[in-house]
Amino acid sequence: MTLSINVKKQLGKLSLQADLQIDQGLTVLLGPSGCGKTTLLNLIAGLMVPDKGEIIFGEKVYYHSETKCHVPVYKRNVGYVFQAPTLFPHLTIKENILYGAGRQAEKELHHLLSLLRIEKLEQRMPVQISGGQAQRVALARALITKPNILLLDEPFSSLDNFVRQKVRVDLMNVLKEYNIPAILVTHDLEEALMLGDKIAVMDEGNILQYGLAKEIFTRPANRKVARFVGMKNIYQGRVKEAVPHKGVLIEGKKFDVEVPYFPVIEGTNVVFGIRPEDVLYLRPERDFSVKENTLKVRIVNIIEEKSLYRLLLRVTTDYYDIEMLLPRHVVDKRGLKAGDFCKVSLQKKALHIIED
Amino acid sequence: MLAGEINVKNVWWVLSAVLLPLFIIIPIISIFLNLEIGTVISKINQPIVYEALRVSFSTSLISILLVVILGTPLAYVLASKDFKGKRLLDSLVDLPMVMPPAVAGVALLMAFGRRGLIGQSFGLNVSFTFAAVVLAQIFVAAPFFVRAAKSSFQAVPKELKSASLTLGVTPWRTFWRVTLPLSAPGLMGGLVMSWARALGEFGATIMFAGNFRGVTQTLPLAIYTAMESDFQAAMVISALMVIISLAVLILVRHLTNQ
Repeated sequence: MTLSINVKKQLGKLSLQADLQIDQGLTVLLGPSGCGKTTLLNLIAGLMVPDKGEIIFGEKVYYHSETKCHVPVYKRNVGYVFQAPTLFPHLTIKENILYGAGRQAEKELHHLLSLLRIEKLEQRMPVQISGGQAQRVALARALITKPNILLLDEPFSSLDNFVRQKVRVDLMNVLKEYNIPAILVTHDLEEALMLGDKIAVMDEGNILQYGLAKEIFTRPANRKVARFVGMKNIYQGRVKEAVPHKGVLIEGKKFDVEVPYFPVIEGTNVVFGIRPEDVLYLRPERDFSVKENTLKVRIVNIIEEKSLYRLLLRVTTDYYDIEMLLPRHVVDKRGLKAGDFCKVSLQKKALHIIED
Repeated sequence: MLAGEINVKNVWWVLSAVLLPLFIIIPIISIFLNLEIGTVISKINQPIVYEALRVSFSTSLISILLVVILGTPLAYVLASKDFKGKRLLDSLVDLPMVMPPAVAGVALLMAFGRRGLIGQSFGLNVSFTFAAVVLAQIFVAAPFFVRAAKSSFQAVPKELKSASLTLGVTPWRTFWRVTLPLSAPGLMGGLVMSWARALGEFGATIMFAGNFRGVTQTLPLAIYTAMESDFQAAMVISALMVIISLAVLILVRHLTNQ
């Protein structure tokens, strides 16, 4: 069942334009605030009407501007989990969950309650339960109606970190069992990578790149996407030499690199990048044989992060040129500190050419 | 209140805080001080009293019913939709609240009387009838209800309605299952205030409906009439109305504090 979207919508300063085919699995709409991802979700749900285009799910036409067709929200059979729990405050948890379902759903109810770990809350009122519990109730409420597609708008943003992790797992369990396509909106990269089968990166109303999560992460299509997926080291250069079966030599503004061969004309300007975690630290006594794009660098700063250290390295006269991530034990064992010199290697296969 | 900001022992503060409440309570108590149980019982059986009770209650019940039936959809539209001329409509609905009641009476006469705008077109003459009382009450009381209903509807979060729609419930059923239950306290408060206003209406009623006992003589009109002929009866009706007002106040506070 494919959801085919091709819509245009003008909302104040935002010009949204999206052309996507969404299949089974969980698709993430990733982007900064205001990029239009929630608007796109609302267009799919029917809560907003596009200016032009069509939205077709399988054989059902939800919206078609040519034929002036707009199926109202309540006929689309989509499940929607909002950013804030949005439970009906005057109904019990049980009544909330069964709100949109028929009478037969009572059996389904108990199964969902245990799957989402919210048994024994049936008779409570929404004010009496926690945020994490409320979001799970909202999820149950949406799923019990057996929707064609599940839409989630930053469902975990109102939860604290610890609860967030747990509810994410709950969501994955539930999606696995119900096997309905889902679209999740988030601005959190980690969340996108953890949950998404496919990711659509959005910015300022446009879809910058759409593909498998791994693809987006390692092979961002352009600079904006690269920055968004955390590829911090982005450099400009010019192709000096391109030799088939051997490689491409790039004369970078900061340093030269050699990358695996790809068809390109010598003299072309390119942009390339490498993820901070792919910058290889060369141990002086052991890694002297590594020859790929080795650079002597000076450590400018070491920033402590959750479980790693982020090292800012300098090659040129700029403040810093390369970001490298290293596990704590490496930095501590080696006694690395700002001011030290060391050698790193930019592995050819980790270098990625970004079209600009 | 910060220490030193207001010294409650300071006589000026006490005076200003107490003068207005005193001014309100003294006249009210005075009504009751002039009554005896015997008087009350005998007066209630006088036609001037029980006829007025009958007219007031029957007209106000009908008025309120009509106000709710006509006012609720209006309030809902004002609360949820944005359209050209909305502000104008909003102000229009509020207008009777700022108009002098006597003027309202004259206006109604000019519209629905024998030679009025509507009166002439439809061959009606509603003035000085039971229906006129109802119309006058609706005119002055409707804004109270519509205003309260509008803000009650507005207080229901939009996301709840959206959630209901995504769960497959039509907008009509969403109103009954979500919007109405959540705005009920506010609606009830508005209804009660509106009813109190309708009961107390004098100026428009006497101008448009006249003062015919048993037909258009409401409780306030009866007080006015009784003041000349049967002073004690006026006292009794007044006392009754004070009790009703107190009941209204308590009821509204109870309902809207939920």
